[in-house]
Amino acid sequence: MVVDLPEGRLLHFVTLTDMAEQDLQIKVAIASRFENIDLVDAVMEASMRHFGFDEETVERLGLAIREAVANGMRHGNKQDPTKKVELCCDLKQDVMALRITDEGSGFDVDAVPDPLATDNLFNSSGRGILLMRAFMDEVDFKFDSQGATQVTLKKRLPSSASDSGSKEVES
Amino acid sequence: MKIPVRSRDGVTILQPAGKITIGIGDIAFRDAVDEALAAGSMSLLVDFQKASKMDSSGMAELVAAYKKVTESGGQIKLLHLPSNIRDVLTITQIARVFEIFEDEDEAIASFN
Repeated sequence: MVVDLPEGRLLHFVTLTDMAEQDLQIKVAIASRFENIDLVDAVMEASMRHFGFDEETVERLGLAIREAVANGMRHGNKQDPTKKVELCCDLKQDVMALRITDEGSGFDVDAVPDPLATDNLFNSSGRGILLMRAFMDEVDFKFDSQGATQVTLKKRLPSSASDSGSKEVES
Repeated sequence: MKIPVRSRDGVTILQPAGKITIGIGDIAFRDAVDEALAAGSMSLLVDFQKASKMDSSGMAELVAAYKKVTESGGQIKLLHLPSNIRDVLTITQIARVFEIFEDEDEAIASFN
């Protein structure tokens, strides 16, 4: 598989491991600079088209991934460019599973205010996690012993899913 | 990145292009709103026709713009939302805060 990468982006590594016809692994690690998020966008959007997602779903999933990476840079790594955000995408059977890991000190996911609450509608944060949950089938947060955050995003491939990429969001 | 701005019938029209996302597009949008307010504009229309994408940082700037403009006694409305941006503004319920138009003439007339 060929993935077009934008020029001039700081890239630590991208690996595409064609483990089998149905199994594939993509790894990307980028320094915590917001402009590097476009690199993840380019890699994952091209990959998701290759996986068979339609354009609307690629757009939605791409935004969810962008939010996870941006959270790692901003809230996890505090925009320290010496710290990386790593993305590992595993395609196994009928599921795309992404793990996005930062080098930060973690956070309390339950303490993030509900952005849909009337009092929070004008808040500046909280919507990224909402979008991840709206567009992915599963979203899970884990923290290692140092507190670094790993968010796992899972989405069934289109051949095994009847939806087009969006779930109902409770208000 | 500088957001083009034009004026029509007393309405300041901001025309963000490309990505209104974390780091560049969101800041450019904030600056454009702040400059419009500093210039005394009380009627702002954001034309999204050339915008391709908006993330949560762009949305944060959009709701911040709404607060700043309305607290200044002005109005800010949205025009030509692409389906993907309308999608995320609906999911986050930001869409219900704004008047949204598909036709520029109607949008301009609504300020009078």
